[in-house]
Amino acid sequence: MTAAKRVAQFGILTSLALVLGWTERFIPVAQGIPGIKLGLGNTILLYAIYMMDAKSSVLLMLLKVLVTGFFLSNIGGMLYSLAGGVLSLAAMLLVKKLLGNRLPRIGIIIVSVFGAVFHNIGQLSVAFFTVLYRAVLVYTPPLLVSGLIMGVLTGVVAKYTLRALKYYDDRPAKKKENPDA
Amino acid sequence: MRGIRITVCIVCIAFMLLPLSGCGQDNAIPTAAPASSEPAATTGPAPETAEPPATPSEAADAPATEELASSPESTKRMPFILPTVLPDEVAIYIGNALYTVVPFDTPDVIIVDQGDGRVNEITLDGEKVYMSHSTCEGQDCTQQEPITPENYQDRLVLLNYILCLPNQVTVEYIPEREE
Repeated sequence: MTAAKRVAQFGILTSLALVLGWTERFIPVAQGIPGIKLGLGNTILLYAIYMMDAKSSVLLMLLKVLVTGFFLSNIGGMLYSLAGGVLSLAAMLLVKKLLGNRLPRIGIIIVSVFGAVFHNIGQLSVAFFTVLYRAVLVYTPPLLVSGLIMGVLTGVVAKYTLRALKYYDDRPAKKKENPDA
Repeated sequence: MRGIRITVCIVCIAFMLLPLSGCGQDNAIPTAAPASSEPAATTGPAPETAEPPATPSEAADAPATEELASSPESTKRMPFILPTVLPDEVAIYIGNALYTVVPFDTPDVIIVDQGDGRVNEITLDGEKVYMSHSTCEGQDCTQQEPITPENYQDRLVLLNYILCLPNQVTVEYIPEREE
């Protein structure tokens, strides 16, 4: 992959993460409850983990946190997002490594669930130190359950997205081969 | 054999002492009740007994007589300590530090200005408490359902709390409780 292509790929993925994060605001899951959301931005990280390498996924996560923080929230929001992002990416990479080639059909969904749950754990741990801890304790079980459900949904989305992408990735290669032949 | 005998003896003694100790408790209640009921009636249920003289003059005699009938029972049930009932309150926190505590049933608007542009406005209208205004970006806190004495146990996700994460402001509804 050339440097230009790599830059373009990162640009597209980061902007896609931004757009997905923004679009999510219009999908009301639990009105007014911070943290309970679909987490479609995670599909981008799942793409990076499965289609690129670990290093790229870390870079993409940092880019996503920075850009989303600048455009959609502020420094405080960025801190939450960074804690969630770091923890979720670490969990996802670890689970993917542990799973290896086992469970090829639902592997990505399991990885996604771990990502979502650990994202919420990261955010809760920041909240635990910044707002009233009693309120955070009340808030913890529903947030983890929501992470579980949303993780499955995001994982399913990512699974079919990746399948489609792989299909389109293969197609131009075949087309290129044809004129040469 | 000897060990068994000793244990049987201990169990028998224990069974003999059990009703005795129970009797002791039963006896204690009536003896202590008259002594404690009089001073307690003046201090403990003062806010409740203050109302009946006002209500019969307006209309209802029946509730007043009911209360009079029920009040000796309640003193019998709680012979030693009559718990004072604390009214429901609203506590506001910035981070983990308490900012203020206000009574729930007095209408009020509390403005929490942290001096760095972060301002939250909490409204109490006597029946519910809610975040009426916030300078935070997400505005999640203003969309959270108002807390009432009826819904605080099964309110969506946050129960008796209103959370503004960006401004680090928490509103806690403290229900009516016994001291």
